Amino acid sequence: MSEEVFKLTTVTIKKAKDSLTELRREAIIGKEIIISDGKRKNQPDASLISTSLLDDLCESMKFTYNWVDNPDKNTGMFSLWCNELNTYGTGETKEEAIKNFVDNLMTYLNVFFNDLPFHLSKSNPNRKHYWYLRRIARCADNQEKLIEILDLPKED
Amino acid sequence: MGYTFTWDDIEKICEALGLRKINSNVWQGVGPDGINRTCTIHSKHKGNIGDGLTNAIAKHQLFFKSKKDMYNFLKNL
Repeated sequence: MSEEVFKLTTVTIKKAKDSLTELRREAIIGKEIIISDGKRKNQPDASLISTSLLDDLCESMKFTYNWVDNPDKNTGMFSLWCNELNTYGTGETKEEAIKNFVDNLMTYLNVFFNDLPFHLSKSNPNRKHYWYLRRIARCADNQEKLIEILDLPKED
Repeated sequence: MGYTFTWDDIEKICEALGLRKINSNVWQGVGPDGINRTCTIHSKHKGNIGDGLTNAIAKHQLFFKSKKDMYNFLKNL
């Protein structure tokens, strides 16, 4: 007889409500608990999972940049482009462009998380930005950590 | 041939693609092709946008095949 294949635990909303403390404890040690809607079968599932595991997953989301414009006769601006988030910053100096990029990024972070159905729609090519932005959102109130994970280019 | 754009041009393109302004510099919406787009516009900056940035906006924010494609779209508005 073959060995039974491991399956993730699935519980109904009612069961999850009744035993949330226990399920949370299991999630913390690494179990993913899938919560399904027992009454409405067509509703997508949601998972209870360790925040630390998700943070680890996001660690691999690195940011890379290109200086796509330097001042010339056509434009007097530097333009910095972030390849993973399709976000940019412009400025008369590199320092200004980097600052402008961070401002634009914070705006995009808010715009994205304020309308998740729009940004996570299957018809939105930017849905892949989610994990990068989550990484930023996890340290948005820690300026030092934010600068570290953004790995911004040097100004010279 | 160089194709130059101003931020006003990008705003016109966004409007034509069905995007709407959701805050001071972000436009967002679903285009006639069913694709969801988000575009950042620096409308307070005057003059032409840099060549590299125009190219990146055309391809990665507005999902045109190329800058030339975006130029032709603008000319036909």
